Amino acid sequence: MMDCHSVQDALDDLRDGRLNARSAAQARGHLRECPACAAQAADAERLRAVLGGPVVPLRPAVLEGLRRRAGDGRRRLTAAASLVLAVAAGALWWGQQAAAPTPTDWLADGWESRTVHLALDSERALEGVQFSLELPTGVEVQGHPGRSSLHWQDDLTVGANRLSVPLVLQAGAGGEVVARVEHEGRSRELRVSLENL
Amino acid sequence: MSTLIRIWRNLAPGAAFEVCLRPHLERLWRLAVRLQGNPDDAEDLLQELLERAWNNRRQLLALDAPGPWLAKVLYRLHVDRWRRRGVLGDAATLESAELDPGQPLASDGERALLSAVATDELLAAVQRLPEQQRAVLLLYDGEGYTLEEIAGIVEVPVGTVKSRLHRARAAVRAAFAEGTEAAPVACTELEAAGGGR
Repeated sequence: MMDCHSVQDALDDLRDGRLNARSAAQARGHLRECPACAAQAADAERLRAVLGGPVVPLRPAVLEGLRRRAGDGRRRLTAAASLVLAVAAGALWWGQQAAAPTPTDWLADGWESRTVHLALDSERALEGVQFSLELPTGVEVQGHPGRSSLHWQDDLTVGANRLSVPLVLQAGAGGEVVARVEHEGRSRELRVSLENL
Repeated sequence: MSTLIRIWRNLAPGAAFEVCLRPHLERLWRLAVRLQGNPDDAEDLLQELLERAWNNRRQLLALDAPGPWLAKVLYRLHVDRWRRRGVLGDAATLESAELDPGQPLASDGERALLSAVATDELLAAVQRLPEQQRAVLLLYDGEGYTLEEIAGIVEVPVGTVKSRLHRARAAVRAAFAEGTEAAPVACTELEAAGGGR
């Protein structure tokens, strides 16, 4: 049988499900019988409801500040920057299949994991570059079943920019993985065939 | 680290930073408002956190679960702000007097005291608590951090967190029991803050 001190000490554990079944039953039984402890529990719930209430929403300007911070304001767009001129070289290729791959026991039979690498060597820093990765049937991004394409926006730094995307490939899948990079109306496309595996 | 973060990480650290931080921003904002007591100071606190997180982004991006780290830094920055304001004096002002652990934590009868108390009065009573008690109450009841997470955030043992929670709730209840006045240490904090809180 739990005394008042033990029950009051265990109220949070009881509410959060951390007590074993026997202790929880004893605590609930005590709360039914003891008005003082029941009052404690009721007050704790009231306090929690009040303290957990809504607050003023976060201003969008703070999120914009985060993006500016993440974009590193020291970068500068040159007036003449263009994707075609700036990106001196690009390549898309398959990584080696690992001899001891990362745990793939989650993969269904007939699927294998492979990484595709995208490299873009840029002569200038470019902001707001649109990226897309189109995948053929039977190829998916690891962890995102059913998703046949990726689209995102990011910046390119001067020099080498590298991206590695983990994919899963179904046996017999064919076609090409297509990477597309767009900036201010100009685009560049890179392709790699599954036959090159 | 999620697959998508790993994808972006290889392209630009700025994008990975934003992706890493965005899921935690709302909760950190709510915590900042609850700790600071008003949205203007909360926004300043959050901006300080973003600055600190950006300066430590390499460490941040290596964490599987950055939420508790971010909350810990936010709490430290909050304490620094309070100390700069001169509200937090020596350790004696941080905690109320020890309660006799041999007795139940409230001996003021069998009534649920707080159910009839208006929300703003309850919040005001919480604001008057010694800061270390107030903080764990806001972390636990306000934002639902676990006791273990709170122990990591405020950097004390779990037992100390539980003790502060109990004292905080007892102090709030005592504030509304008949004939009870606020604890002297709370009045000291109010005077030091110019009565602003």
